Amino acid sequence: MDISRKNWWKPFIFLAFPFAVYLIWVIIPIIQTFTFSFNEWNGMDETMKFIGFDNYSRLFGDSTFWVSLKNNMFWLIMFVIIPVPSGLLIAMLFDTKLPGGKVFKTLFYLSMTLSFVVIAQIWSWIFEPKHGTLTSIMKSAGFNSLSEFQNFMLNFILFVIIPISLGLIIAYLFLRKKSILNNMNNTLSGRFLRNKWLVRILYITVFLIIFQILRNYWKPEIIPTRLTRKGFPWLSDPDIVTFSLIGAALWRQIPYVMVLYLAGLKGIPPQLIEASIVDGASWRQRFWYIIIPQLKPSTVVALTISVIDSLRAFDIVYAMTRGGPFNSSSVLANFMYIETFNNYRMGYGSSIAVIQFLITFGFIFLYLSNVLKKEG
Amino acid sequence: MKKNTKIKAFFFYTIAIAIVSVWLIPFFITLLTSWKPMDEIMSTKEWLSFPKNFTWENYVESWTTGNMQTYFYNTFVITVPSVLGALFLSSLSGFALSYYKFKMGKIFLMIFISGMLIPFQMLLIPVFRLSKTLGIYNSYFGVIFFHIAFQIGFCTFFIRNFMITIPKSLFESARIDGAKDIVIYLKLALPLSLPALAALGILEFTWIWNDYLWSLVLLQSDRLKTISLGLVSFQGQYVSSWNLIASASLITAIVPLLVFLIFQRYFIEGLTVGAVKG
Amino acid sequence: MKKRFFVMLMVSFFFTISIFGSKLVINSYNGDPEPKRVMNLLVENFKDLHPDIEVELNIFAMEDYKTLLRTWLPSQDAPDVVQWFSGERMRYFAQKDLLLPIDDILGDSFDDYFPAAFKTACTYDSKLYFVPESWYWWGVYYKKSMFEKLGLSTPKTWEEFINICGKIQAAGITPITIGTKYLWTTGAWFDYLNMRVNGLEWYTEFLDGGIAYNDAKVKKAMSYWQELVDNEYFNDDHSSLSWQEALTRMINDEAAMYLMGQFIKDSTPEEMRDDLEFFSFPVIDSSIPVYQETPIDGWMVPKNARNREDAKLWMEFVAGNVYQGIVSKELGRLAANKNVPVPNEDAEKGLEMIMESKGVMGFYDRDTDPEMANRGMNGFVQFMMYPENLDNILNELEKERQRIYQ
Repeated sequence: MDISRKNWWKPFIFLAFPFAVYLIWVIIPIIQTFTFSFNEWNGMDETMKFIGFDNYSRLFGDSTFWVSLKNNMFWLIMFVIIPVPSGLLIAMLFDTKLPGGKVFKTLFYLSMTLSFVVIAQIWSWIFEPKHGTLTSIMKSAGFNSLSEFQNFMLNFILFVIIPISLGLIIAYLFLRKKSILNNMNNTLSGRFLRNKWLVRILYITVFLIIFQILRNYWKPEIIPTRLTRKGFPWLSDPDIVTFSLIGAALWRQIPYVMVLYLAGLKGIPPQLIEASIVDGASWRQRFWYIIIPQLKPSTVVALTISVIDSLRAFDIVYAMTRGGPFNSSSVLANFMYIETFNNYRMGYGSSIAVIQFLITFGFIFLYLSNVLKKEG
Repeated sequence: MKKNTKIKAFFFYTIAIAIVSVWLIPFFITLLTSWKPMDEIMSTKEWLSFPKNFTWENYVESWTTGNMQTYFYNTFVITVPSVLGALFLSSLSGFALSYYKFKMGKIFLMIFISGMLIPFQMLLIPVFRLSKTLGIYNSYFGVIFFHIAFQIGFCTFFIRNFMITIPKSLFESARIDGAKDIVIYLKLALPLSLPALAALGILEFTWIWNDYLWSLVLLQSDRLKTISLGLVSFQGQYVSSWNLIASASLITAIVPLLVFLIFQRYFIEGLTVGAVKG
Repeated sequence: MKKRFFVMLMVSFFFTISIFGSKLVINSYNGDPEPKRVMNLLVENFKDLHPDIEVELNIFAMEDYKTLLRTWLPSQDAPDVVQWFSGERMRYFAQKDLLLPIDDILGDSFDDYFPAAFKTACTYDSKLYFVPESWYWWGVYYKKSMFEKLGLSTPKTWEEFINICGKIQAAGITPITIGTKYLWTTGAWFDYLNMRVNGLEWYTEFLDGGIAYNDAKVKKAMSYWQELVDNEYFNDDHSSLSWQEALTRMINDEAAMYLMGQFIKDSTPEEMRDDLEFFSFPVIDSSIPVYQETPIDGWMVPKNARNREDAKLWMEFVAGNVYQGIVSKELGRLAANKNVPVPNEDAEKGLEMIMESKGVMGFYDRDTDPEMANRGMNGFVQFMMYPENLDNILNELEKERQRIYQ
C-alpha cells in the first residue's frame, strides 16, 4: 500500500516494537563489536585502549586467519556444489505420488532436528580412527589406510570419471553437427552414427583406452602423510580434517536444502508439466526448460542459506575439533571464539567478526540488491 | 504404459531406500549403541551390529542420573515462549514491510537481514553485559528475550517474503470496506500466513530447543539449565560410557523429533511460498 | 495454554528475583561424577555447620568453566565464591582487581593451616587471595595388570622408558596415550622434559618470560619429546580427543601409559582404580636433581561478590579440617591443611615422591602468563603433528613471548 504523507507513521506502529527489541539486543551489540575491534580489550577491564586499525593489521599478518579464511572458502564451495544439486535431485526423487514417498522424505530430513551437540557426538564415533563406522566400511572395502583410498579415488577420477565425461562431451558435440551426419545419409556408417548410444559408447571406449595407455607413463599419487599412510586419521590429519567436518555438516545441510526444493516443487503449477507432456517434451527438456527456471527462487534461497551457513560455520568445528589439530580445521567463527574467550582478546576477536561480517555481507549483497530491485 | 510405471516404481523404491538407509546410518549407530550394555560394546567394537543383550536400562539410567526431568522442563519453559514471541513480533514487522510501500522499508529490511550475517558468538559478551544491566541474567526471561530478539531478523525476512505473495486485491477490497490496518493484519494477513508461521515455528522450535551457547552464557544456576547444557555435561561425565551417552542424546532429541513428525504436514506446505519466494 | 505459560514465566521470574537475597552462590568446576558427588557432600557439611545460610551450588564442566569465570568476575553480581587454580591463573584476576583479599580471615593464621611453601602460590602483591583446598602430584600412570602381562617393570631412566615403549609398541599397544583437543595436556610433557633436562631454576626463569623460546636448552628438551613422536609412541589421533577420551584408550587396554595428574582416578571406573599405578617421570640427566609438578586447587572470593560475609565463612570452612578431610579421603588428593592425615597408600606414595624431590612447580599454564601458555600449548600440539617444524614453531613462540612480555 502506498502511503500518503499524512500517514507516514502507520508502518512504524507495527515496526516499533519488534524493531526496538531487535535494536537493543542485536543491532547495538553489533555496533559495539565494531567499536571493540578498534580497541585493545580483554573483555574484563573497565577501560579499553584505542589502537586504531592495529587489530586489523595484526589479523592480516596472522597465519591462523588465512587458514581459517581458506577453510571457510572450502566450506563455501562444498556447501554450494554438494547440497544444492544433490538436494535438488533428491527432492525431485522424493516428490512422488507413489505410496511411501512421504515416509522417505520424513526419514531423510530427520537429521535436521538434532542439535550440534548430538551430531558432533555421533560423528565422532563415525570418525573414530580404529573402530569407527567409516573405518570399518573402508576396511571391509579392502583399504588398509586412508592413503590407499585417496589414491584409489584419484585414479578412479582421473582414469575412469574423466575419460567417460570427455567421451560424453565429445559425443554430444559430434551429434550436434548434423551436417556431417546428413552427408553420410545412407551409408552403413551413417546409420550407425545416428544411433546416439552407440556413438557415446564408441567415444567413451576410445577415451578410456587413451587414458589407460597414458596411465603407463603417468602415475599420479597423493603422497601419504605420516598419518594417512598407516590408518584412517579422519579428524587428526590436518589435510583431511576439514573435509571430515564438512561431511558431518552436510549430513544436516543436504536435507535442509532438499526441503527448500520440495517446497519449490510443490509451487510449480501442475498444468505446466502436463502441458509439456502433451507437447511431447522429453524429460530432459522438461527438466532444463521448465523445472529449473521454475525453481529459480528456491535455488536462490538455497544458495543464500548455504553461503550464510558456510561462512558462519561454527558449531560442528567447535564441538568436534575446536579448530585443531593446531588450527588446521579452524574457521573464522571458531578462530574468533577462541581468541575472544580462550585468549582473552575481545578487541582482536571483534576484528575477526567484522571481517567475517563484511565477507558474508559482500556475498549476500549482490543477491539482496537484485531481489529488491526486482520487487521495485 | 503400465509396465513403464512399474519400472519407475521399482527404480524409485530402490534408490530411495538406498539413500535413506545411508542417511540414517548415524541414527542407527546411536540407536543400536543405546541398546547395548557397555561390555558388549567393548568386546565387539562393532557399531552397526544388533545388540545381543538388548536392554532399555541405559535410557532409565541416563534419564535419572542425567537429571533430565529438570532440563526438559527448563527447555520447554524457554523454547515455547521464545518461539511464540519471535513469531508474533516478526509477524508485526513482516506485515509492516510487506503491506506498506515506503522508502524506509528497504532500509529496515536490510537491517533485519544484516543481523543474520554476523557470527552470533560475537554478541555473547555484549548481550551478557546487557542482561546483567537489565537484571535478567540467570533467569528464564533473559534467555527468552534474547532468543526472541535474535530470531526476529530471520523471521521477519521469512514472513515478509510470504506476506508479499498475498494478492494485493484481497487487502484492497478490505480497505474499501473500511477496514483499519490493524484489522487487516489480524483478520487477513495473519490467518493467511498461518502455513508460513507453522513452518517457521517448527524450524524455530528445533533451533531454540537445541541452543547451547546462549543458555551456557546467560544461565548460571543448575536448576535453570537447558537440555543441551545437560547433555554436554553428561557427555563430560560419562565419557567412556558410550551407551549412556547415546541414550541421553536420543532422549534430548525426542521432542524436536516429535514436533517435526507431528507437524511435518504443515512444514513443507508452509515453506512452499514463504522461504522460496525470494 | 499461552496464559498458563505466561503465569509460569512470571512465577519463575519472581522466584529468580527473590533469590538475590542473602544466599551463598558457589560456582565449582567439579563436573566429573566423583568430584561432583564430593562437592555436594561438602556443601551438605557446610549447611550443617551454618543452617541459616541458603546455599546455591552451581557445577560446570571444566572447559566451560574456564571461559565463564572471566565473564562472571567483572560483572556486578558475581558469584560469592569460585573454585580456581593457584599461581599465575589466580594472579591474572588479582592483578585486574577482580578478587577480594582475604587477609582478614587467614592472613595471620595461614601458617597454622598450610605449609609455608604454599603461601607464594596464594598471594599477589603481598595480599592473600586464595585458599588452597588440595594438591596432587603428576606421574606416569599405567595399568599394573598390563605391565605384568607384558613382563615390564617401571622405568627409572629415560633409556629404560624408551625401551619399555618399544616393547609395548611391539605388542601392538600404543605406548603413550594423550588427548590434546584442549591443549593443556601437552603442558605436562613440556614441564617435565624441561625440569629433567634443564632443571627447575632455569625453568622458573623461563616461565617468568626471561628466556627465549628458541633457546638451545629448550631445543634440547624438545629433542627427547621428538624421539617419542618420531618413534610414534603417542596415539596419533590425540588432537581430536579430550583427556578423558584419551583415558578410555588405557581403560580398554589399547594404550599403556599416561602422563597425568592424580585426578586421573576420578574418571577411571571404580573396579579399575586399584589397578592404576604411577611412577615418577624418568630421569634424563642424572646430574639434574629430580623435580615434580604439584598443582594446587582452591577457592577465591570475587570482588563483586554480593554476599561477602557468608563467602568468608565458606573460605574458613575450606581451610578447615572437615572440608580438607573429605576431599582428601574421598578423592585421594593430598590435603593442603597440614593437620589432615594422608588418606591412603597411593597418596602416601605420591607424597613420598614429592618429598624426595628437590623442588616443585605448579603447571605450565598456571606458572606462566595465561596468553603465552595458550600460544605455547598450541605450538606443542603443532610440534606433535609436525616435529620437523620445531625450529619454526619455537621462533613463532619467541615472537609471541617478546610481544607478551614487552
